[in-house]
Amino acid sequence: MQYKHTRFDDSVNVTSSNPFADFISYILTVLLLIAGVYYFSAYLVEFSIPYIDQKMEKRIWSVMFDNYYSAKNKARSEQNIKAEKYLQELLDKIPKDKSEGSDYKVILVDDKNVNAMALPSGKIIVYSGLLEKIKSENGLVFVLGHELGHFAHRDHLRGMGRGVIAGLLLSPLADFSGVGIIIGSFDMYFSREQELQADEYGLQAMNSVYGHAGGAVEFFEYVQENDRETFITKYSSSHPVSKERIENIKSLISAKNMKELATITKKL
Amino acid sequence: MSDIIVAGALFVVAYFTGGHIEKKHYKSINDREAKLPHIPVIEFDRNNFPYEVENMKMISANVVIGADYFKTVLAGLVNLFGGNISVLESVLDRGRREVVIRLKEQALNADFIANLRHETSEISGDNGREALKVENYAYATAIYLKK
Repeated sequence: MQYKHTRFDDSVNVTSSNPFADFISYILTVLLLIAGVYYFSAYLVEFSIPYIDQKMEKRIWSVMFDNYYSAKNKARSEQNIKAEKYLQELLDKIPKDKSEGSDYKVILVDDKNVNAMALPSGKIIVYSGLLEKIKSENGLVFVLGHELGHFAHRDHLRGMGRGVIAGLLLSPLADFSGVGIIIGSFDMYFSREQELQADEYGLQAMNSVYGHAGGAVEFFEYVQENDRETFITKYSSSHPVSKERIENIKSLISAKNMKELATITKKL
Repeated sequence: MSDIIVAGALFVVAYFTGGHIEKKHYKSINDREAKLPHIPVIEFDRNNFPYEVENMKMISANVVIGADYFKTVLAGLVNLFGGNISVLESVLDRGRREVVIRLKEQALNADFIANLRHETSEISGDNGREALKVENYAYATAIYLKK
């Protein structure tokens, strides 16, 4: 037997394709899918929010946040506890809608950030940085009223619910970095609207406590002075820029014929 | 934002560098395959072998091929929907052919290479973010006949 060598064409083992075109078509499909899931989850959340009352909301979320913040606040100073009490008193002064319930709680967290937020189950988180920078009681009441506005419009459930549902549906994609950023950018415009509405609520709240709207823009003026807002931060941040919000508040004050009198210094 | 820019830049760079390296590797594979002496690769059964064997030797070779970042991401995308992941075919093909060349280079004077076996394993980390890396290992028996 004589061996005769034959060379086979083995190029069939590799499919000739244009990987770049493949990539474009796949990424477009994924983006469409994400957009679909996002709008579907927004719809689901809108659908379910009327069925979730405060009691249920508390049951769902309180365990989680209570544990988180009690762990964070374990070693707190006397001064911190006093300040939290003071904030709670201010919050209790604000007249609340009966149907929404009035079981709101301020939690002061030791953090240099100048910020506050509304969490499900009626928790208002205030960072000590904010308490330090805002000088007047009126300014604090505005911030608390703003967060109450988020509760009244149930924004906290919307934001969180959408995040949770979209996260669940897209979890197979979680490895693909960038999905979170894409979802975040869908949220932006919605958030801006919500913030402006909550500002209006806060303004009403401080007007009903003090009878005038002096000090409403103190927080935003502080932010405006200390934060350089660039083109990028304007569009990447979920909060509308301070200038826009100050203008919004000023136009609301004149539209509603509110007075702007002297503010009260905070009692700390 | 900066995450997206870095990932995008890596991705575009990988498309070009990965494509260039693959082209070069294929050229080298084709050249070396053409230069190798024609050693037949057979299945060997000691009981029914018509020739007298003088010597046998086990030979083995391995090679690790990395798919670039572009290929890995595209493979991940295709994986979501299912279907042929043709973008990885060249990675495996290169590995198999390279490893056979390395095997034959160890037995240039052999008359046959018998019972060639391939093993392929993925050696990427399991966090799913690394580029895919594939090890190809092959082993066989080189047979020298009595002259």
